[in-house]
Amino acid sequence: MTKKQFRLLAEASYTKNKLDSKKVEKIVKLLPRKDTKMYIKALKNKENKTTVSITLPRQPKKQIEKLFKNMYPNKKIIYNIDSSLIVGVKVIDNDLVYEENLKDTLRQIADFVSQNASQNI
Amino acid sequence: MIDSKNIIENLEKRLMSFGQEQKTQNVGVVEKITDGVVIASGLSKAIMGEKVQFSDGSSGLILNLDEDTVSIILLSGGENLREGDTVKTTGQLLSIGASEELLGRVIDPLGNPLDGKPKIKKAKLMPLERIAPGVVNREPVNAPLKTGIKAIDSMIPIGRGQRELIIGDRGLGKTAIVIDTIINQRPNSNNKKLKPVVCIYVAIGQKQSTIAQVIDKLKQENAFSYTIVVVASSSYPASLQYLAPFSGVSIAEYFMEKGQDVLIAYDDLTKHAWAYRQLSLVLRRPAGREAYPGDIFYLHSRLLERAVKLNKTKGGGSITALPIIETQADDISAYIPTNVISITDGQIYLKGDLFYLGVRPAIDAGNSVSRVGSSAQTAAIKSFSGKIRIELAQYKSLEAFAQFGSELDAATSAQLERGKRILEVLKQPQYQPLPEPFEILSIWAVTNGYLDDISVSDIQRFEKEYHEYVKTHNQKLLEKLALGEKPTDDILKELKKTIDSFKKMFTSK
Repeated sequence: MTKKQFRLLAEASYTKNKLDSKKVEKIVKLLPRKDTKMYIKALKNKENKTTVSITLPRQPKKQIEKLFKNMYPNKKIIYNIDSSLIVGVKVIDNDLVYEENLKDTLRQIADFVSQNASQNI
Repeated sequence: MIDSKNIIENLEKRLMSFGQEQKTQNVGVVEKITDGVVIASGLSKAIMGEKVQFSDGSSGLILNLDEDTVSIILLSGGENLREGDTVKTTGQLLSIGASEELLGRVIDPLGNPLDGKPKIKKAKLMPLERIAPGVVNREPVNAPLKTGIKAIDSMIPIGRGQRELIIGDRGLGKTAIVIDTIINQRPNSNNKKLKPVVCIYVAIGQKQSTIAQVIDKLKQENAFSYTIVVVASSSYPASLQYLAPFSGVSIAEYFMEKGQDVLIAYDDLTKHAWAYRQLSLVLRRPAGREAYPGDIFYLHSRLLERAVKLNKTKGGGSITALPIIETQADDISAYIPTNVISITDGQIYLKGDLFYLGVRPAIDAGNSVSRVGSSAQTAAIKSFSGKIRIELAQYKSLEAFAQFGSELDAATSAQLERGKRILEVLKQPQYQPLPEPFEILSIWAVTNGYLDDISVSDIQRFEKEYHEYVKTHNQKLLEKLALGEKPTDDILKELKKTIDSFKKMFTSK
């Protein structure tokens, strides 16, 4: 089986944007062990594509949740809490990572200053 | 003392230039690692030629974009890389830091110093892959680049901005020509009208010991202060060997953009082609003739197209390229040699037969050509060396009859004798490039028959002593010849007078 076929199989395992356990079981029964591994991988990829992971410094307010829901209408949103993420947010959308936080901004300023340190003010 | 107002104003200005970094990152997962090539999934927004960073700190360069995966060549590290590690895009195309600090340094293709000296701090980032300047920004080659080698400067002249291939079997002195040319760019040995030349020597797939010898020689000859050596020796991964000439030309472009003339030697492009073939096969690109990938011609043409003579409005800088190709058994009709011959503006062909006969440099004048260099020759050397090529060609065609010496008519045997002397004059020891006035002295003497009565075995001694004689007795003549102008009747008379008086002295010994 080709990668494309596994991808199609993974897509077929979903019903209304949700992984259908009955379909999955049916497919797994028919697949040899080697292909099952590839099928799991394809499912993981599909799951990654339909899931957005958002990390915030504290529990999000309903307003913010609504905002993210509007941004990703067809995706499942998982919220994580990381208090070290001061005044920031980290969004993982499949292979794209958006990150903004105070720590990084400060580091960026420090880098900029050290790079230009030899220049006269 | 700077007042506080100025300090604040400056800070405000600097803050304006402080750009926020792009926060979006494209992340992928390592799927497979084979022979310095990593296959990674994800990275859907990656672009061709983009630099990527692995989670273990090593870096790579994207060379293939497939439907679900990208192929990345490893640039550094990678020993600790495992399947499942993350890799992220950097949003940067591969580039090298270039600055004047690089002069007299030995670096690897990524700009890391290899000479134990500190890292180059302040440098302008120059992209490794860049489109060559267009026709509007160029002007024809019009200034000579003196090699200091009589045979080349007289018969196969090289101009600034030209691409002249040096081709021949191994061990025939291809690198020696490049080293002599670099040595000859010493500021004091040039025509004062010409700008000094920055030299870049790119060693690709060579033994470290050979590279060390080259560096040592350049240091001995005081030629290292204006030279940059880019090293990707045979122990380096194919990815770095593939990148080395591009790093070299990117540094060359930095100096060219400042209006300077640059000489870059690629030693050698055969090994560069091998490295690219290796990479392409590992990347599973379709193999063509001799298993080279289909874009091997484009690889070398896009590299050599970056050798250019810019016009005055663009600063008037130039990059002269001296690519080297190693042939097998004098076969210049192989795939890579024919490719590079067709890309370059001429070739210097070194022949094994000549080399073993003691003709060194073993330049085969018949197969060597310079397509644009003659227009860059100075009027002086042009007027003196016009005859030498014809006389040498006549000699070569008559050489077969030489064995019937006694049966030849007087004119033919005279031509043969002249040819022998020309060949003798064109011999030159390694690492001893000659300034143009001395080249003119020798060429004028032999082509005008002043050496016809000197025995062939004495020619080299005659030439050496003649040069010394002129240096001590007629410095003014050398100064006039150094101007590079068309010789006047007075100069010709003076040349004749000088050689006559020297010959009297030489023959009386």
